[in-house]
Amino acid sequence: MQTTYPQSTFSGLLSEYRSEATLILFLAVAFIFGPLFTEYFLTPDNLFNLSRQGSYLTIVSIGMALVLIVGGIDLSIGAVMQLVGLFTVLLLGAGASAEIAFLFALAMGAVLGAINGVLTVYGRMQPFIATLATGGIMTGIVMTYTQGNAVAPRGIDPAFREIGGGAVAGLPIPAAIMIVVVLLFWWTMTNTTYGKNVYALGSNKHAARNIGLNTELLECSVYMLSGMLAALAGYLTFARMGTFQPATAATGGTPVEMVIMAIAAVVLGGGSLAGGKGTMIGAFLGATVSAVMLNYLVLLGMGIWFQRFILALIIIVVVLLARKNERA
Amino acid sequence: MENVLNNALPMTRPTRRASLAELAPALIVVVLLVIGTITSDRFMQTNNILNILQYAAEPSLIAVGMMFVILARGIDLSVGSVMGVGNVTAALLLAAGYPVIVAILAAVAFGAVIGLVNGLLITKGRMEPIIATLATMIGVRSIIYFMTDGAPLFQGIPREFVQIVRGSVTGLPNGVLFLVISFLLAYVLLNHTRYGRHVYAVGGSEETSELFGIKVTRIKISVYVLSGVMAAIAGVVGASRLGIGDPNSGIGYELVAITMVVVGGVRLAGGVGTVMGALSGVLIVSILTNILQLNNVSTHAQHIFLGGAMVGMMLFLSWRDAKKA
Amino acid sequence: MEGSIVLDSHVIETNALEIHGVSKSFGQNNVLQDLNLTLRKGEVHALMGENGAGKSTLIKIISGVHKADQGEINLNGSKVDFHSPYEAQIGGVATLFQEIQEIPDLSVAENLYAGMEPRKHGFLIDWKKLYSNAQRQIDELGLRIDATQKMRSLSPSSRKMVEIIRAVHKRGASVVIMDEPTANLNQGEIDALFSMIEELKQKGVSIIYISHRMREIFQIANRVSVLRDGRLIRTSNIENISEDEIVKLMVGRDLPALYPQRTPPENEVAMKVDNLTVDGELDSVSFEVRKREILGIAGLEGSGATSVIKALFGLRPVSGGTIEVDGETLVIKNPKRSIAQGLAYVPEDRKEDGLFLNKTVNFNLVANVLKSHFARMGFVVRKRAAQTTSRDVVKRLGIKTTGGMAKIGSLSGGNQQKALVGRWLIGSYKAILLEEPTRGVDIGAKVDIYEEINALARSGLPVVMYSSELLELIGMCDRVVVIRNGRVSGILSGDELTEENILEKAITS
Repeated sequence: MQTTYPQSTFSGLLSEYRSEATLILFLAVAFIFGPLFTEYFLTPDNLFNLSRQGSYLTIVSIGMALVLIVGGIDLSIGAVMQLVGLFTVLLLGAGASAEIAFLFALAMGAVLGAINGVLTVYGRMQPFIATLATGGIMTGIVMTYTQGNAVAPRGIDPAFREIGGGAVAGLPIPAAIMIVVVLLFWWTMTNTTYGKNVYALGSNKHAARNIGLNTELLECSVYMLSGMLAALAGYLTFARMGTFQPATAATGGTPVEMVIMAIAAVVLGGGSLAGGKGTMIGAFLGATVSAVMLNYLVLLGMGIWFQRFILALIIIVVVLLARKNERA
Repeated sequence: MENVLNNALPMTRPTRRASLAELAPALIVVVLLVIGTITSDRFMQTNNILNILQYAAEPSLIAVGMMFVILARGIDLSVGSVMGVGNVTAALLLAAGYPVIVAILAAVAFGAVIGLVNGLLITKGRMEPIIATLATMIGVRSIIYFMTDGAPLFQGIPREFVQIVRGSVTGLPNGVLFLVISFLLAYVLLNHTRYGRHVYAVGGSEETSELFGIKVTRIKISVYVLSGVMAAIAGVVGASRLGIGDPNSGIGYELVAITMVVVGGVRLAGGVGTVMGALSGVLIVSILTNILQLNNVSTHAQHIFLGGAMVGMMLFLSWRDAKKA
Repeated sequence: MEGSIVLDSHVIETNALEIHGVSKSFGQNNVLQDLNLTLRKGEVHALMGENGAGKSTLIKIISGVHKADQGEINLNGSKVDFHSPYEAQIGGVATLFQEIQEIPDLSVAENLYAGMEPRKHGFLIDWKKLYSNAQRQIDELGLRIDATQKMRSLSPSSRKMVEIIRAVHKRGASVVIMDEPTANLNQGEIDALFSMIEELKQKGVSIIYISHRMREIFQIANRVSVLRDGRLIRTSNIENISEDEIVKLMVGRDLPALYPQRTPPENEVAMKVDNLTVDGELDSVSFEVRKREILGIAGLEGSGATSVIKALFGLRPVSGGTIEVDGETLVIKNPKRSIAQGLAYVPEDRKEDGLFLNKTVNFNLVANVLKSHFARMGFVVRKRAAQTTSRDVVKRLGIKTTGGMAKIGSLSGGNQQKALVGRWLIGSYKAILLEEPTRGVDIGAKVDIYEEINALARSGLPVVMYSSELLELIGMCDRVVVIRNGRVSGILSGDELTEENILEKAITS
């Protein structure tokens, strides 16, 4: 019989990466026709802001994609951003340097994520309930400490604000960091045993166990990475402000909204809540498209709540379409 | 592999004995009552007890709806926002001069519609309950802010409306009455009607329910509608209790309601859980909250304890299940 | 030919079910081919055939789980086309599948009366009546089941009986299909079932009865039909056929051609299992496997035979016993540990426990050896090398695929199964554990897989293989360990290795 290797026809690639291709097309359309509706869209200022704004979402979306690939979910990422942000600012206020605070933030995110992982894997809690609870606890801690007020200690390391607001090679530093993160995780997921094993776990947990993978540890590690990435995003968000600002409905968004945006981004990029699916590039594109759309709505003068409403609609439409594709 | 030893077992009627997990919620209530009495003189006063029950009314109304959803193997994260919508809808209509009954019915209808949307997205649209209800959670909250511009409504709410919850028909505050009635209704529905038993059946196994001729889709949609209605009523109760319309009403209540239900021993995987258990869950959370208040723990910090309680209970349950298996 | 189209109304009256020219294929696998079958009113019709002969598919088509590609089904003289088991039930065809259909956390009575609970005052359930009705129904059959208990708290056999009562009595079925109903039942329950069947016959209800237990067939069936490779081989009155004839019809092919030439095992013992015990499943199971030997594990459903290999591989909580391979005692803890100690394992359910269905052929073939064979610095995958190797495996096993990048889920069952076995050809192991290595695959793929198993044994490895197909065990194995009630009830070899002997050792007396 005939066996041919490898199958890399253009149409094959296109069907494999349909979500990604659609998103690229969408971005092209947005950049070509966007300026027709609002001239400000293509100005360097806006693009600079847009890329920074999009970087936070992209970073957490990468983490969310990892969790969704193994069939889990992490509803705590918004709360992790908050709690880590608060502690980072407090640490800076106590005189720590921006670099120390950075390492601290990552470590704290890893610990918080590991707690989620342990509760889910070893405590056998459903991931959504475990992360909903830990997220609630973290938000509770933040709100208890701040009473809903900003925390702005004096004399913190100026490098902190520089990381959040500065630029490197014309790119906002958060965007540059985001690119590094995306490339790193893209490479990890496609070229290392770790990445392959995570996909194996997401595709079939029993089979993964039966070929000798330590599925528990692997699953835990994914939640840990999600926590670290959320912590990174939190650090960058508050570095931009230079202060800590608790997220409440009044200030334009509870921590849950970051969660839903990240889920939307990953699903847009071809991920699925059923697990086993999703790519890093897809998550990156999904987050970018979300950021562009939100930017658009802002430029068109839509209020924050209208944006939220559109966001909810988009999630519903995207998931419904994804379902339809699965059935076809 | 199942029946290696089964054939040897005599098939006698197993003795009925309440398991530890069934008793645990009631035990925790007792323990909390003791702790409350020890830590605060005011705890056991009639006023405080009534207070506990009255404040329990809003989250427990939501918890009743949530219980139906969870029994049918679903989850409803939009309840907090639906509560908010019920709250501001009633307040806005009252402020505009509509009669109380119209305001209430409109609020409840709004809740039912959102529940219907959830149900349709989940059944016909085959969306995961978490995603569908997260999306409506956000969408509905934004609708609230369109309706109110984000500002609370202080004026134009008639006294008669406020009396609905604050007044007293039976000698007990009406808020307590709501709690009692809703649990009684839930008890009758779940234990003494086909509908209720079929909710359990669907949560136990959709496939088998289908084979038994149970209208699975209809049941699943109905529990979300019920949940929406209960959350909207909770919003109306909130508006009545405080005499204001609050666009932030209900934020975080999904967590409280799920905690109540889960702490009460209702299994998140569906099909298992009793009304008595859920009531215990409501009491546990409410008493715990009250004890924290009496000991000057802030509202936000209370969430930390609630989340902790939920994690603790879930770990206990999964530990028990693992031991059984 | 039987089942030809009948226009005479008198004949229609006597046939409960007529199946005309039904065909069904899954992918390239033709499971049923132009099948005709007639079920007379009030008869028990036994359906016999090896695993994979098409029995399950046939009853799934009748009961509306699957749709036939061709052909038609007449029920009581009119054409039917059910889309779900529920529709079939309403239409008068009740089916008892092998898995128990139940709501475990509801009471026995509720499971019996779901959807038609008696009510009072219009909408309240009349619990008293519900329980007493259910209890009466159970008592009438002489069963000792409490109608108020939750299903979950009953033994599997009691649960099966409840399901049988429900399916048979609920909707006034005119045809009842039973797929291995006695697999989990004890003798008292089997008697109760048979008296139910007798009662149904009196009422004119027709029954399709599937069982591997010959005794039962001769006890209750009026007629028997034998299926092989998706075709009806013969229908006969039970008086006109013998047990031997049925077996011959079921097998119907030259055994030697199907199974490879075996080389005799060496005398040296390679694997030694001593008093292996899993609470509630296995009790002090001991056996030895020599080098180059293929050792079979046999046993009826529920005997514990399926647990032996799982226990060896660390998928069951082993509560006692030792396992030695090449003189070293193994630590049995989890699959990772077992693989590290040289065990390779092919699970019985390739979709649930074996393959990564939405991943590529290449991914599936090398996923287990990425770290050991294809990693630079321990973590960077050498993609090119992995691809080349998996290409070799594809070639060696003759896996039919459009390419290594094709999703394995798109392959036929036989090719998926080859890949499942094939992933253990890369790397070196000390013992091979196989469960149902040819489940649900066509003859061609079977031959290839047998050849590969033989090659593994020939290379000096001990092979332990569980299969529910007795002929496969006889054709492949040097010796067969028979498990009954969790214990070894006999070890057969050489000339003793016949279906009859295995069954005799396996059947609970």
